[in-house]
Amino acid sequence: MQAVIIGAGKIGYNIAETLSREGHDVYVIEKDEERKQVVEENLDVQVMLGNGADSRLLESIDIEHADLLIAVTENDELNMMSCMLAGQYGVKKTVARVRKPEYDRNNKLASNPALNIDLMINPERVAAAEIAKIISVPEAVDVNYYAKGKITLLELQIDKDNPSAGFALKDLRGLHHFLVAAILREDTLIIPRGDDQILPGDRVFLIARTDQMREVEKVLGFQRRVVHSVMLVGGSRVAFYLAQLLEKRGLEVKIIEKDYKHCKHLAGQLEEAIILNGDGSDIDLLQDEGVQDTDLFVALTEDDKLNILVSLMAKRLGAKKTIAQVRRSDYLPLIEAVGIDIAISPRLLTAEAVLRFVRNSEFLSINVLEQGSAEVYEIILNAHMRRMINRPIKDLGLPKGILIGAMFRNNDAVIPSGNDVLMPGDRIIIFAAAAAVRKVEHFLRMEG
Amino acid sequence: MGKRYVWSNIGSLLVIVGVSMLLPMAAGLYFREAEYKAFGQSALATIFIGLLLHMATRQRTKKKRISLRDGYALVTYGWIVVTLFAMVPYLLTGTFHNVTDAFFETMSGFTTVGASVLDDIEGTPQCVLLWRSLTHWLGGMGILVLFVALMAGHGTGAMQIFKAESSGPVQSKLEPKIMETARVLWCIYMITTMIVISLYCLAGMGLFDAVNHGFSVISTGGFSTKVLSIGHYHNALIDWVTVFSMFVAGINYSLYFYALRTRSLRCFVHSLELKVYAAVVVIATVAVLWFIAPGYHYNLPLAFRHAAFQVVSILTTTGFITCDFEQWALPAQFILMLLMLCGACAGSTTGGIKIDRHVILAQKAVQEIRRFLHPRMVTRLKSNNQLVDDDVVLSVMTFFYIYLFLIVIGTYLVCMLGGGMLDSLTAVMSCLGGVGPALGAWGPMESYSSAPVGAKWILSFLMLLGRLEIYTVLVLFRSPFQKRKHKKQETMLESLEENAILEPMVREK
Repeated sequence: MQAVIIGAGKIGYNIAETLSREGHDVYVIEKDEERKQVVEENLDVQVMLGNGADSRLLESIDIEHADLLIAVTENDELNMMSCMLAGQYGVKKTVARVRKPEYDRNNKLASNPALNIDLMINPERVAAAEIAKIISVPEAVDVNYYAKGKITLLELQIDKDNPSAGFALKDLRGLHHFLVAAILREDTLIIPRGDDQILPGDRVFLIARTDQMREVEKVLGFQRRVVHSVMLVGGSRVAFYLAQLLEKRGLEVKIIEKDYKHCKHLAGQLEEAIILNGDGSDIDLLQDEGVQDTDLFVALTEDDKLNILVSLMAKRLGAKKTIAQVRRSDYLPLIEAVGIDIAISPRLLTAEAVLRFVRNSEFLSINVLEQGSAEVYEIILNAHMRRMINRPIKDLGLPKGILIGAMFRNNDAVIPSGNDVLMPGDRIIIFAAAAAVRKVEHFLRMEG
Repeated sequence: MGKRYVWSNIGSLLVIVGVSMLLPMAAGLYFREAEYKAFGQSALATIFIGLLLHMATRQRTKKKRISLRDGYALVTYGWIVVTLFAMVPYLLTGTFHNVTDAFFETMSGFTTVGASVLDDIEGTPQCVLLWRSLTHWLGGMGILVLFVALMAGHGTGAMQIFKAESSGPVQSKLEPKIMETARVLWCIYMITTMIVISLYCLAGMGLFDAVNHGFSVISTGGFSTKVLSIGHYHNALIDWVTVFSMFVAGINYSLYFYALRTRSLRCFVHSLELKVYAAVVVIATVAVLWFIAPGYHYNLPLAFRHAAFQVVSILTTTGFITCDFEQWALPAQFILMLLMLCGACAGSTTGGIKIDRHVILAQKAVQEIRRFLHPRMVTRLKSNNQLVDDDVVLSVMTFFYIYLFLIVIGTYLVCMLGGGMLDSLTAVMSCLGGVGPALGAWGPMESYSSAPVGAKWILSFLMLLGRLEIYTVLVLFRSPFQKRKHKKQETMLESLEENAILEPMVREK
């Protein structure tokens, strides 16, 4: 596949890296010379210097034969124009990053076919949705839903005092079926067997039916908490979108923002949220507003370092769970190590969302877990996937690192055992460790 | 230049009023009443003087920007001058024999209060009755809004006038041009009036009465052609038509405009003020019904009809009546008294404090209470789905204060002049709010003719204050204070200069 990426910012870089690693031909168009050099040095892609809406430049990289154009510059209008131009050259799929809320709402502009945008993506909205998703299961590090929401995958952090620590997986029994798909131990992903133990400090990937997950968590010593109050520091766009989502769920939302004018703006846009004018790193203010009683504390300022600092402070003051927005992806592993529960990077999330979209259309959804250490696929089986169907799962000969996490048939989801037989029309959730990711597609394509 | 501007426009205003006197004259001719002459004479005189005034003060030079004060002066003085001319027919026809009564009746007409000093209504010539209703109709949407709609090319000045006369805390233009906005409003006003008149005809009212009541109900005035008001008919259908029309007249006119433009009723659903307005009607009706049901021997359909009619009539500050609500249980009367302070939606023809202001005040109150817990909280208010500036909120709070202050002062003055306590209080509330009937001596079954002369003048002035929403009138009194302030500032500057504090700045230049 030939892909053109316009804008080599964090998102563009990340997408280019992944696509190139998967063996696609990637062209990157970047207007900044220094950035161009950085990309050229680090990635196996062709980098062009120039404007993404320059038709001569696009023709020079043979745009007519491109399958995919991803416009992710800082400039919404340029992104939209590039997609429009790509449409004229017959590019099959286009993605545009559009941040301004007045463009990305469902309106005449967004739905205009002349724009030729297949996916309009708003990083801030994506980040807000991600945080909102985590809030629904606050004890988890990450939450993903599959099969129309009937299957849940949780990433859980096992603490020292967790009662399940030290047990072998086969000894963990509950009322319901569940699957421990993987264990992340000191940056290595293990696809566990029955006699593998759970150790303190592990991150466990747990798959179960959504309606049974509450019970299943108890097997691993987790108790579902309900989030009532959320405190946000920094009135960024992410904070705004998040507050909007949380308001709808009836949660108590407080936003602390330094700029008075911006506070006024937020107060006008939001209905119930309490907008506080002040410095998020002011301990007195945090305590007056009850940070010690908040269920969730999210730091969303523009400044990574400040986010880390205030999250740590909030954690110390007694906030039950803290999330920090961090733009620099190289900080990410560090943050969770210092004690902040979750680090969120809007750009990485956006890159993931774009990748999910551009991959093979047989995949209903793809999730990248823990910065690429594992991926989860949701696909619908068809009669051509002969290696997968009409055989018990234990006889499929699935490569190491791949497992079938759940099966969705006749509107009902089950966690399959080795004796279950897959059939055409089934929706399945495949869990793949990073090393095995390439084999998944291969395995599905193989006929015979 | 300001004064010339004001008087030349008042001249044009008089022409409009003079022309409108031709309608009762035509009615007089049709009904073969001798009083048509009086209208012909006053019409001629008014038009003539108006033209003269306009010519004499017309500006030869190109228009300059007019000041805010000129806008307010034009509206306030305009209303007073127009009232002085419009009362002439009452005197010429012999309906009233003194200036006090004629002025009171005319002011009550234009300000759509509907408080009358006319006792023998059925014995009054029909052309005079039509003139009474017509003053309501002209004053309802506003004589100056009509003036803006008819006379083109006023630019920023027209916006000033429009703002000064329209009701509610925030005025918005419906069309890019203020003249178009005024025309659209008058169009909606005329159409609703026609609809109401035809509804009355269908309900079995005679054409003449239907026209009079139509004018009166859409302007939420309250003058009737019958002593017993709508109660004269004892007709459930007419009662319900009136309730419906009064309710409709109490809705913000811009909502009708948006509904017509977007061809959907969505804007009605989204309006918080409208919801509150409807809720107040329902709650007040149910409460009144609860208290009066025993008095009606549990004849619920009749009690409900009377309760709904009186509640909507007082709330929309119309002042029509179908029964003597002074016979009701006291709690029910008290509810009606409270409704006088409420008023309907802003941007309608109703008077009073208005639902929009109450909504803003209530929201602000809740926010301030929350702020005790969160001292750093930043808040915003919405009214009619639009953000409201803090300045507007403050001005609404001040409005509320002045409004209550006027009630207190007014009551005190009327009491001094010989009114009873309850009579004075409710009369002041009623006249300031544009309702009409009060409780006690000037209750629903009585007229204000028994009021002392001084009280009539005070009430007339309160009517004007209420109709022009206080600020427009009061700013004209504030000017002496402002001038003194200016002087203070000047002296301060001088002393600053003496102390050479400003020197470095001068040097830099």
